[in-house]
Amino acid sequence: MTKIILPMLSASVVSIEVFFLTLIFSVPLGFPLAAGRMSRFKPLSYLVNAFLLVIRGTPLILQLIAVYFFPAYLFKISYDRFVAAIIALSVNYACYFAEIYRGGIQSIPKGQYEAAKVLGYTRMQTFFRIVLPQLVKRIVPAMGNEVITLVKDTALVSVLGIAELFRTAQTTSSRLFSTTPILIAGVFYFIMNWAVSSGFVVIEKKLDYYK
Amino acid sequence: MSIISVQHIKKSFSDGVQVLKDISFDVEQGEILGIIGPSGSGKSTMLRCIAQLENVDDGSIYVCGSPIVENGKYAAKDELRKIGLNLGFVFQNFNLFPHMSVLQNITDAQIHVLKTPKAEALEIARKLLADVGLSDKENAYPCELSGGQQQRVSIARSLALKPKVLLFDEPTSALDPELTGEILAVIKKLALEKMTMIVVTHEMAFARDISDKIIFMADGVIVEQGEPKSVISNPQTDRLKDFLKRFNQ
Repeated sequence: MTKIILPMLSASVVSIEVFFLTLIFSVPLGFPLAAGRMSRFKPLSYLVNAFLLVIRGTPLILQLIAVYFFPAYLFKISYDRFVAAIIALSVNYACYFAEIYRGGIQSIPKGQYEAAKVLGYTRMQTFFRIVLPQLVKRIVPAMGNEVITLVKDTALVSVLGIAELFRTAQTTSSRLFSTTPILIAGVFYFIMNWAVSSGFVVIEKKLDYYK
Repeated sequence: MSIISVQHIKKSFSDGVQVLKDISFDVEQGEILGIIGPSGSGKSTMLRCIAQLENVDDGSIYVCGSPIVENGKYAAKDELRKIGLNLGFVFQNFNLFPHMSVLQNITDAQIHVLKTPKAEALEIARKLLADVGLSDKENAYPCELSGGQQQRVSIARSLALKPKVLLFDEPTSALDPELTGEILAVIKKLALEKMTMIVVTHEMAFARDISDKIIFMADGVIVEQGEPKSVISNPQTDRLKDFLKRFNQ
């Protein structure tokens, strides 16, 4: 059993690394994308919207392959697979987050902006002190959904040969002629997601001090 | 010099409707101006133009002598913000910040816009809360308050920045008749302290009691203006007579 579990544990660490790195990049990246999507400058908003449609409308696994192999085939540039995986995942999730942010921002009543304006707040202050705190509370459920999906999507980076949990489970399975490693991988993912959803419950509770 | 001077402002909405046809009036320091009129007359829009929440297409608005807009040309952004700090605005639906407590709602702008030190801001906030009768609610959140309480907090929030003029956009229209009294009492108190105010309202009796001057607007123009006892008790035009008939049932 330890021969199965130990390598899978260290492979989980790789999955967790992919998870956190993707979050670190995609959560901020969603904001400029949302801003571009909501821009009053029509060419920009059309361009960003098209980009969001393509990224959200094509399989992530294809994007992973494209991000690594297109530069190699087109420009003969080859680079680290792990970096490629993070880029593809971050851009993909940033697009989903951008739409969540946009929905949240548009659901904030105009009156909040007007109150901020008559009280003399600058645009930056209005965004950081008035809009953002209210936005966070509104988007927590949707973000929870996406983050849970991300835990599972880390398995897709196996297509680039990265030794994360799923791939390790697969290879161990075929090596030992047993499906047990796959089942154990399922348990690992479940435990990770259980931690994530508990985290979101805690966040929602903390934000429940007002309606 | 009038503290607020509105000269020949005109405004049309993007669908072509002319909401302000040619409005001119002055408000002197310490004066209370009541603005009455049917829905769609442009009275809220006009108030919002003074508060810079809407833009006029033409005309001039002067606040404390400085122009917000002169013949349709707006001043620079920093100028506008500076001039704007002379005005306080109370909204029909309060617009309190839901994620901040009552006390934070009142201190936040003081600290971050006026750069008042926190201790001083808290002192000012507490005094204003006492003035509006809500000292016991300082740590409550807006969602825990009644409409009347929220509106009183909203008034305190505007007063915290020590504006020279307070603008009220139908302050009691979103409230039950029972809660309306609380707000009118607060405004009466401010009147006694000689605060310059412009109040757009449907509360006819209140407008008559408290105003030094009343403007009756309809269809984007000022139809009549003058002292309450002449405008309300002795209307000259048919338009105003029709409007007042409804209140004298």
